[in-house]
Formats: sequence, structure tokens, C-alpha cells
Amino acid sequence: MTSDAKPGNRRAVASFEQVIAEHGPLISRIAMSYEADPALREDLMQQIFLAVWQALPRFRADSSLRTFIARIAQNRSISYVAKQVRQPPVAELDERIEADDPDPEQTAMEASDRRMLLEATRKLPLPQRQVIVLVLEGFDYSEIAEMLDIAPNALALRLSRAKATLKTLLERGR
Amino acid sequence: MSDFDLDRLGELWRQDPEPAEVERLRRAAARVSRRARMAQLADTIGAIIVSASLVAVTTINHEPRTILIVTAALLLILFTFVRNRKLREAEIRMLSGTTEEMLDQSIERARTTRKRMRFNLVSVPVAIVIYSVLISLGRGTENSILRARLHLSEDMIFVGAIMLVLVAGLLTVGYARTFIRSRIELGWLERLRDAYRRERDESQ
Repeated sequence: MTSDAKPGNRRAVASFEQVIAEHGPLISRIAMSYEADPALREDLMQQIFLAVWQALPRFRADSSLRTFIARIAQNRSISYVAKQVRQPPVAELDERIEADDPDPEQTAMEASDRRMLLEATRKLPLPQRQVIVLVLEGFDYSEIAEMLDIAPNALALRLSRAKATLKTLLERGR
Repeated sequence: MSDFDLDRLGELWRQDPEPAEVERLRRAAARVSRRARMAQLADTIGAIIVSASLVAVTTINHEPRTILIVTAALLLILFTFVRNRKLREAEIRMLSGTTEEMLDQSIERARTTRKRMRFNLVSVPVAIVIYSVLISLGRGTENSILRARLHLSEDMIFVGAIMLVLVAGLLTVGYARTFIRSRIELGWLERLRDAYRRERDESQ
């Protein structure tokens, strides 16, 4: 089953390995938006993988697999952040986002922009961060509203606030 | 980053990961699924071995007391198995549900942890007091409750008391730490849930 599988389609669910091959980058980006420290992020990723592994046999295709994975990743990340507030704060490490590109100048600029976007996203309040991450991941508004179980007007309000905050944070970071 | 264009930001956000990163993810996921499968297998094999051993004990020893203990142990294994399964299912439901539902359940869990820790924090000093009373009752005489019941010498009781106080002290520190941390977590979860509710209510 691929990410374009339609809700209601009850074909056999893909193997865990296939799911990770297809949705691993989505999980990685969601984890990145919640945890800056690479070692802790690795821990969070493993927790998300385990949650997906356990939940996959119960996937009933009421929504797309991608939506299902994103919801688990977001919820696990939020519960992880809740656990982290119990621990003493850890010093943030410098994050390196690199790409093997023939145009190093362009690559450096993109990496810098991406890092700035990531840092700004991490500073958003959680309800706003959740919605912005889903928009950046390319989910459409009806999918996001369904995933968060909120009405379209509530989503529109939260998104407009999130956009305004993100814009301010990005301008400040420039 | 000169302008605020969400579509452009989305493209930037979703850039294809490096092949090395994809491979790293694949390996990490394979490791997780392997460990989870192993843990499941170990649980099953462990339960089978323990159950088989218990049944073997009853075939050797038919005493009603043995049968009673074995039955109780088997029921305990079954209870643990069913409970763990239910907990796992509840966790999965929580993670695949909405964030507000997940927060409600997390708050409930944090409250339960706090209550349990508060009870433990009270019960440890109470246990020490009871133990001290038992020691002091008839101390140095042949009528000492502990001496009479357990056939212990005065020295053994003294060493036992020191050990108990040390263990109780360590437990109390652990319970106090968990209590404080769960209070911080609970406060954070409640604020977050309120933030979600506010967002929802304001749009209605």
C-alpha cells in the first residue's frame, strides 16, 4: 500500500519495512520539528518506529496510510516532549543539514534556509507547530482537519495564527 | 529567506533526503522491528517455560497446597499477559487518535502516577515506624515479636534495621523525584490541553 492509497481500501497493509522506506523521511522531519538534539531525536525516532510497528496491523484504511503515520508520529512526539519537560534541559547542539549537490553555493543557501525554517518551526507553540508541520508536509486542509479532529474554520484560524508567528520568527532569524 | 511563501517553504521542507539518510532510517527501523519481534518471542517463550515448569511441579507433587500455589501463579501469568496486551492496545489507540484524546489520557496517567507516588511517600515512613515499634517492643527480651517469629539475634535485627532505613531512604528519594517530575509533566500537559481547547473554542 502506498501513500496514494485511498481511504476505505482494505488491501493488505504493507510490511513495516516498506512503510519506513516510503514514509521514513516524513517521520524523520516530524521528529526533527520536535527535538533539536540529534541523540535525543534518534531516541524519539525509535519510539515512533516502534509505535508504527505496533499500530500497523490495526490500520483499517479509514484514512490514508500517510495520514495514519503522521498522526502517530505527531502524537508520539508530543508525548515525548511531555516526558522531556521532566528532565533537566540539554544543551542544543549545532545542526548540520547538508546535501551532496553540484552547486555548493546554492546548496549552502538552501541548507541555511532549511535550518532557519526548522528552528523557527521548533519555536512555535505546539498546536500551531502541529498544523504548520502538516501543511509543510503537503497534507491538504481536509486531511489536516480530519487528523486533528477540528472543524475547517478552527483549522483556518489556527493556521493563520501559525503562519503569522512563523513569519515573525523567520524575519527575526534573518 | 526573503519572502513568506508557504508553498516554497513546503518544497524546502520536503527536500529529498540523502541516500545515506534513507539507508540510516531503514537500518534504524529494521533494528526496532527486530528488537520488538525478539521481545515478543522472549515473552511468549518465557511464559511457556514458566507455565510448563509449574505444571511439571504439580505432576510431581499432588499436594493441595502445591496445586493451589501453581494455579495462583498460572492465573497471575495470564492476568499479566492480558493486562500487558490491554495496555499496549490502549497505547496504540491513544497514539492513533486525536491529540486532545492523547493529552486527556496522558493527563490521566500522570495523575495516577502522582497519586501512587504520594501514597508511596506516605507508606514508606509508616512502614519504618511499624518496623521500629516491632523492634522496640520487648527489645532485649525473649518476648521480642521479631525474635520470637523469625528466630533472629539482636545483631541481625540491628543490621536489618539499618538496611531497611537505607533502602527506605533511597526509595523515598526515588518516589519524591518521580512525584516532582510527574507534577511538572502534569502541569505542562494541562497547559497544552488548555491551549488546544482555547484554539478550538475561539473558532466556534
